[in-house]
Amino acid sequence: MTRGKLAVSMVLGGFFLQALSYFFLAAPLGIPTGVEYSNPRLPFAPAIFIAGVMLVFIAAIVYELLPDRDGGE
Amino acid sequence: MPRYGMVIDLDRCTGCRACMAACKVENNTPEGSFWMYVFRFEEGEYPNTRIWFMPRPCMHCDNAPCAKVCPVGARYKREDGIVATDWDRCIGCRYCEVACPYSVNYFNWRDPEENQYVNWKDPELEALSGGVIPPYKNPDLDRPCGPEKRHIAGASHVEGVIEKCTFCVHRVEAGKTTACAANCPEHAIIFGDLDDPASEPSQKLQRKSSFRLLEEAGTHPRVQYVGGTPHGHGWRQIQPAGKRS
Repeated sequence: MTRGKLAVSMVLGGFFLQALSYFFLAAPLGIPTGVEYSNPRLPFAPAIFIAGVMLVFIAAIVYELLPDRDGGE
Repeated sequence: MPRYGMVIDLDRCTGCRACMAACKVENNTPEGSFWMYVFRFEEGEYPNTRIWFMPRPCMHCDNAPCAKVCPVGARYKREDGIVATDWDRCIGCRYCEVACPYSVNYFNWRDPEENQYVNWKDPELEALSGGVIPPYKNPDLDRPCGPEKRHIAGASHVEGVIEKCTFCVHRVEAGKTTACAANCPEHAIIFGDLDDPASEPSQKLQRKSSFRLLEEAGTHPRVQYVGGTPHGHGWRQIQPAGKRS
């Protein structure tokens, strides 16, 4: 796998994790009628969102640190 | 299941800050940490000035932004309406502090024993206190609370965690009211079950028009204010409380 493909897959994976945790695992949006509107549906949903953000940013580091196919800088 | 809330009558508040002192004693909060804070505002120029006061506890929002962002589930909303912080689970990321629009979260920067108003390890004081350090700490604060048995009561337990007003959960579970409400000499702070129309805060809300802080933020606070006069222009905060210099 080239560094480009790896970096792009990390970015996409990161965005996927963010979307998953924001829309499906975090507390739902809407007018609050109970505790479920404050507490995340999965207790560690914000941590998954943060992991997604980190993955996106780390993709740039991975891209810069890995040598390309030609072996150049 | 009761759903607790607080009603603060701004017409009755005289800004004495007895609630702040009561909260400190009850919850053993560190220096510079004010779970209940009474803002003192002044407007106009001498001799035409007006002073008004606004107590500010945690709002225990129904749509709590702090609970939504906690990555480890330490900050959570209880069924009885209290937004609690499990100091055993908190990792000190301070996301809740950023998310809260009311600035009610306080971070324990230092060892709680060293972060009190008086250094009880001072040899002179130690001689006076008989070596008991600190001289008084509410034993109820170490007790796990609620059916989930989590450590959410009181302050100054661990360094590097976030703490905030708990609505005196240890007192409420024992059938008492909060320390600030119990010690308000003007009965300006009323705590109780907002779902019960016969409760004192509900009765107060029926008699007077109310407002909530930063309602436009969509946080649905459980602390409501009644009374007060809308402020004019050019107001400023006076006599802010803080750390001892």
